[in-house]
Amino acid sequence: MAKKILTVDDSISMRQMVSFTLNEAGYEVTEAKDGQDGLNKAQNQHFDLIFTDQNMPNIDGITLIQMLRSLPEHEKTPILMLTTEASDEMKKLGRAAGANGWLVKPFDPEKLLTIVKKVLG
Amino acid sequence: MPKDKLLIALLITIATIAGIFYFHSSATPVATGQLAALCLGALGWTGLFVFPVGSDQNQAINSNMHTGELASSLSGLLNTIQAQLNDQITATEAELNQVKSLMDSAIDKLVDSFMSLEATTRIGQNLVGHMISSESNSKDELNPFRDRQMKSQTLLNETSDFLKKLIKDTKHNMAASASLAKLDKISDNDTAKILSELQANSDLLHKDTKEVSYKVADIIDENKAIIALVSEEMAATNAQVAEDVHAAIKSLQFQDTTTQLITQCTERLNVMQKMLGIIESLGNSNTAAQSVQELQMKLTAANDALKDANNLRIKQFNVDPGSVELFV
Repeated sequence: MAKKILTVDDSISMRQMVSFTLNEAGYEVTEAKDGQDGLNKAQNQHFDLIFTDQNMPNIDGITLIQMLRSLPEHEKTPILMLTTEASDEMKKLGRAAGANGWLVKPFDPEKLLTIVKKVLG
Repeated sequence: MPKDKLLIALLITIATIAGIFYFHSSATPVATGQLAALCLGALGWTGLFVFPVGSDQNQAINSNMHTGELASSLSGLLNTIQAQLNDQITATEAELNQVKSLMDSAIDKLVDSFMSLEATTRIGQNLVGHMISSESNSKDELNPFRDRQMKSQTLLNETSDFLKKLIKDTKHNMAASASLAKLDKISDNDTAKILSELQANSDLLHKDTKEVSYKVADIIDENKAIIALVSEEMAATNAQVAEDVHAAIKSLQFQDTTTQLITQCTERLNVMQKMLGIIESLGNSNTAAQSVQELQMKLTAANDALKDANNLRIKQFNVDPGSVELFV
């Protein structure tokens, strides 16, 4: 059965690029247009991995991670940040919130797939 | 009460008390002297309130001081505004250059990806074309399968001739066998002759069959080689297409980064607009002091807004892939 991945990003093109890359590799991808949409979808479905952007309307990435970590079903779900933010300060905040990794945009499709395989085991 | 009036009032009061004590201890009739001192004190107090001695002058001095402070404060604030606006304009300019740089980088790479995809697709199309079109063999000198296909065709033609011959020989043998069965009585010589002929035909058939099998094996080998060549070409084409698509995926992400930069530019422009509004509202205030107070409050608010706008979040200048880090 295909692993399920949620990608949360307010940019349509980014969601499409992530979905295209992951679908091509056989993963089942669900898209969410912002933090709130991501939270709603994560509350109703099981996901093996979640990608989230940082700067988004309604709920930002780090807040979303904090909220997801408070949900029992996503306490251990791998969550990776995929963002233009590259500062160490932000990475520390993300890590403290419960992120499992940090990918700086633009992403390389091959590297993305390598990371996904590694995280999903 | 103003400070200067308070000082004068204090001096008058001290003078009055001193007068009372003076007359109390001197040879002057006490009641008359003390009364005179009290009257003078009362007159002084009355004068102080009826005639605002020296207050105009003080007001003018204060007013001059206040105007000076205001001018200095306004000048300082205007300098701050000018510096902030300059900073914002510089930052906006830098961000627009960053957008241009990102767009240039993305478009260059997208053009490369497109050209490469187009070339690879053409190779794939030619490959399929060569395989399905026999006519292209004679026309297209660049066809990588032409020689092998021609060789295979020759082999097929030769095999066809052999098969025709084989069928003919087989028929001949079958006819010979049939004629043998029809004979009621045959001599030893005839038997030997027929057997010899049958043996010769059988040898020929065996030889032809062997040759046909070799030809068929050659055809199979040639076709296997063609299939291997096609597979190799197709695999190379697919790998190139995947590479081009991945390159395009990287480049197409420019939209996200440039959108964020343009949002930042818009934020900066909003802050600048806010500052211009502050300057404009200066003329609508009732007093200069009120204006300065308002201006200070609004500038503080604008500076708070600037904290976010000044924080340059997007560092990317091209569409090269960013770093990847897994937290242990």
